[in-house]
Amino acid sequence: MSCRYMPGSTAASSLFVSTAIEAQVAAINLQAPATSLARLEYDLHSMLLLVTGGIFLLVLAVMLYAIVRHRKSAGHAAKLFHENTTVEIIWTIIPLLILLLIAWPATQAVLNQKSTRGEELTIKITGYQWKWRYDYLDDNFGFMSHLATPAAAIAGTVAKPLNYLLEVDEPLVVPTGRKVRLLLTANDVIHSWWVPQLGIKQDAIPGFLRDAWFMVDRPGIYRGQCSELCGKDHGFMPIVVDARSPEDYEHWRAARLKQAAASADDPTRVWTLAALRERGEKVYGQNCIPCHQANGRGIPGSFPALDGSPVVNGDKAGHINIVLNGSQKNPAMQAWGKQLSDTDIAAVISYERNAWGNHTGQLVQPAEIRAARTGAAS
Amino acid sequence: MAIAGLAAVPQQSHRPHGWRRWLFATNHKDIGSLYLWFAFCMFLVGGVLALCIRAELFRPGLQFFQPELFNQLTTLHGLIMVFGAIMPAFTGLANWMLPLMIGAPDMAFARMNNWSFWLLPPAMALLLLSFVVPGGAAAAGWTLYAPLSVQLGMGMDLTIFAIHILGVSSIMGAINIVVTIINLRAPGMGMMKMPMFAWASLITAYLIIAVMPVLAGAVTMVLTDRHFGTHFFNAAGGGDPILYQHVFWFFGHPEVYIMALPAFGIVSQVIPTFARKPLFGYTSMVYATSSIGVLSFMVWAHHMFVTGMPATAQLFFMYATMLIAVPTGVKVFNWIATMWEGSMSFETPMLFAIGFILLFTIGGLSGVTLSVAAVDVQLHGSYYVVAHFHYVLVAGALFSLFSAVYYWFPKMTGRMYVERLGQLHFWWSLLWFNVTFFPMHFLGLAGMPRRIPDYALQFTQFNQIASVGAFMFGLGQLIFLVNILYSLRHGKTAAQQPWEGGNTLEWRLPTPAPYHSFSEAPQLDVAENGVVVAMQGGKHG
Amino acid sequence: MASGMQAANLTLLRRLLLLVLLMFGFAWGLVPLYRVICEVTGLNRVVVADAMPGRDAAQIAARPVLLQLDAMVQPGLPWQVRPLQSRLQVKTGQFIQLQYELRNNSRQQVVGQAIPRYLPAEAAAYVKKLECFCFRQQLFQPGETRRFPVVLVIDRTLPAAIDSITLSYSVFDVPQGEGGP
Repeated sequence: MSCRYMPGSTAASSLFVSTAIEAQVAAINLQAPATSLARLEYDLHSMLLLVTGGIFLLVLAVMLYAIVRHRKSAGHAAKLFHENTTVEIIWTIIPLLILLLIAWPATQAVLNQKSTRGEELTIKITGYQWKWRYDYLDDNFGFMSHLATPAAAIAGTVAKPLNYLLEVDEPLVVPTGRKVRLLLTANDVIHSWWVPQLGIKQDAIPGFLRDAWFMVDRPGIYRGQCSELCGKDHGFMPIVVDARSPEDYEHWRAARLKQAAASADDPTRVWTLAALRERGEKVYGQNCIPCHQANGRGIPGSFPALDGSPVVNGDKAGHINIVLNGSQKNPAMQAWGKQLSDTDIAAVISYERNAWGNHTGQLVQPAEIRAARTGAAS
Repeated sequence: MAIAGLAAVPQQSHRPHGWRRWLFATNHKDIGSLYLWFAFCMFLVGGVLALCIRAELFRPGLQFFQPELFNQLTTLHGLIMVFGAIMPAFTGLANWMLPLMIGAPDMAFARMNNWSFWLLPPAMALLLLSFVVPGGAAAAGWTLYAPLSVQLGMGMDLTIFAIHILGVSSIMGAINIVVTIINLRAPGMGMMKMPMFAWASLITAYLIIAVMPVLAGAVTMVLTDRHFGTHFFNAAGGGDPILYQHVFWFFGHPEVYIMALPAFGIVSQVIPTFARKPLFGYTSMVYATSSIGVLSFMVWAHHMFVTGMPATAQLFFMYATMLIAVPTGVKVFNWIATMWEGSMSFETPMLFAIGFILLFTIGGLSGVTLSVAAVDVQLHGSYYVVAHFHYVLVAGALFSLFSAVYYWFPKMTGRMYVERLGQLHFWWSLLWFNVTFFPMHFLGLAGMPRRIPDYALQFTQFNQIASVGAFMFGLGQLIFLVNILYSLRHGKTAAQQPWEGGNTLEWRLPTPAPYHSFSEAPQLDVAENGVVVAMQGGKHG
Repeated sequence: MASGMQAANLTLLRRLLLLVLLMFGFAWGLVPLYRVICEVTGLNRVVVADAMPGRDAAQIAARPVLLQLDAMVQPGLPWQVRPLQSRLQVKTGQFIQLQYELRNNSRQQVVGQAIPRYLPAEAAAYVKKLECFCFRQQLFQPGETRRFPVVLVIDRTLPAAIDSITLSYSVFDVPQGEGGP
């Protein structure tokens, strides 16, 4: 219980930790709590560990005593008793009493976890295969959060970074000392949002809304992972929560609002092929690589290749349709129209049509995607 | 042929020879041997899958298997161990021993018995075949949660079909066990007198009959969602993914007891024999086993604490789950009271039985920890759960199975196993089992989710320890195989009563047990737990 | 084997097979049962207009409640749904007017049905909808966008433990000519 794994704050970790060795401290207990909920769970678990550990030692002691003393080789003769009502009643009642003692704080803790009263900030979390989306409902902006560990580190061709598999391109930023309410849902299959130090694990269920809450005590980076098997890259959709002081949070929020206003793409803008390809490669990297792979060859038998694919090299409308609306044949191909903007879809299609061995030379403008969405023209 | 060894030396001429004896087997001993060998083969197959998983997890990073294949490995490891190894092994033991222990000539429906065994190999072949179909085997975990299972490829359809066949097989096996116990007990073998192993098998069989159809229903709904346009679990069509979990765990929790109750039965036979003392609290054992059976239907949603249930439901399932600890505790205390003031000797069956009590207690206590919903929030879906159910299923079911095979091996084959190898097998298994699974508690507490092919760096050390332990544990099972194969041919000839304290009915039979035993029922005077006080008549052959 | 025994075995066999069939049926019966439980506990509120809160409720003082609005579209459906306001400070007993915008992103005519979901789930019984697009199925032309008003009152008897309510509409596709499973 003494060696806990404690991730430092952002500033501390970049100054302090130079090698991956630091992170390899093997923890044997729950992570250091950073919210009242996590502390509640931590204390409750410690109590249970003492009680169950005590019972186990008691059982072990009695058994060992019998094994040592009541053995044939020690010349012990068997006493043929096989009943004792008093003893049997006692060892039924005592465990019941112990359970009642456990049940009391356990009930309090459940009720506490369920209380979402008095929230000050609401964030909607949507699980996707295999990334998270965070929407700040009060401020009308949101973003996707992807695994940031490079594929080469997973394959082992480059050194693994300190926070291997626990780092994202854009963390969820929350203020400390304010009650944050989470609304959770999913887009495809069931995911589960788990950040140990915040004391939260809640399934995100497609088509249904669930809620949870937390209030972080101190600024810091808190890391977690999806904890419900959600398909191929279940192990590769981490969660990072960046808790900042209320002032720092307000700065971040203001910048974010400004950025959201500025970067709203003008869907009527006409792009050049080079610009679209450059943006498309980024979109491809964030969304398409898990299945179709960086080399566009897919995974034979499961995910089709895009390199040389008849859809990608064929009619533009067919390509746009499958990206926008997904595939009927293979449900793993989602309808990206709901997740990506017109510009992103135009970019990724333009990229695919001009990457690897595909040389159509064609580009698709955002306006075409908009038209395809509404079905006005193609 | 090794299989032939597990059946009795011929006493009668009218039985088929060669492959016909096995394919058309109707003799409970032959069918029991088939079940046991089949289960052992599947245990090795499932074990190899487990070692693949542990090999991948030895180091962070992806070394041997891509994530989609890794998910198939975990899924098939679970399905094969549950449906291919543990359940058939218990059915095989029940087939072999029940008629001998209650004085029946054979199982009630001999031909159905043949069918229930021979459905198993094709079902398992389908499961293994699914590795090579496009898209690979099912990769949604053994729980096959929708909507993930609706999304997968053709391997999922094969899995669903295999589960249907397995369900039919285990239901037929269970019906046979119920009818045999209820109707074919020899005169004098009263229900409240019969061995605990018979009681445990009876309750288990009822559980199988009650919940396997529910599993069949759940996977059929997945199948129709996949192919016939229904929307049971698809929210877009008005369905609910959580409904699948409710139906699945309504099967799944009793299933846990289907794999644990027969173990309780075995240990309740072995401990009294080697303590040379009657089982303590037989009546309360019967009631405890029955109440565990009933309670197991009321706790399913404790597998779903983080799905976002209302607080009242969470509290109900939390209390009900905690309550199961009481009858389970009663059983552990009874076993220890049976050992207390006994005259114990520690042959291999006794060692495995004691190992069972010790490790099952750890699994039970971590179960109490998991039952507390607020703590389960941290532990659900983590390696802590993996540690917990392996303590219950490996140390529980598997250790008790080893105990049973060593215990009854002399009666089955007429030969003794090699005691020194048996002891080595036990100590080896006990050591490496704990090296493998104890660190998983730490991994889960520290935040490692289950079913991931790759992990963050701080989990490295314990994963390496667990992987080393798993390979050593796997290696140790070869000791068992060598022991059995050697002893079948070269073991010392066993006495009719190889264990001083064994006084249930099977030990009244000649060794090895005649091919047709109790063809005329004996007249019995029986004390609790099947202890035979006097026996008259009873013909064999 | 005695024929009497044989008959007893078969009787028991028949009973056990009946149990198997019953349990298989039970698995399917869980589907409607589950739905009924959800209705009774208010987890899935029926989509019909509610009556105004009773008069005796008027005795209870109004109190502020935070109303959070959201919408979800089922995976794979061509809808876009959003509330025009996302957060409202309201009072119990007060008429609340909201607006939702729905858009059909596909090239086909689609019929949608919205189902309101509430968090916390207990709040469902206290939110009285007087006007809502969820009362009927809505037909949308290809590419059509429409705005709908929603009028509701939060009952003054709302338990004190609830001081904020989230209302989220889930929009489902209604396949033409059938009603789902």
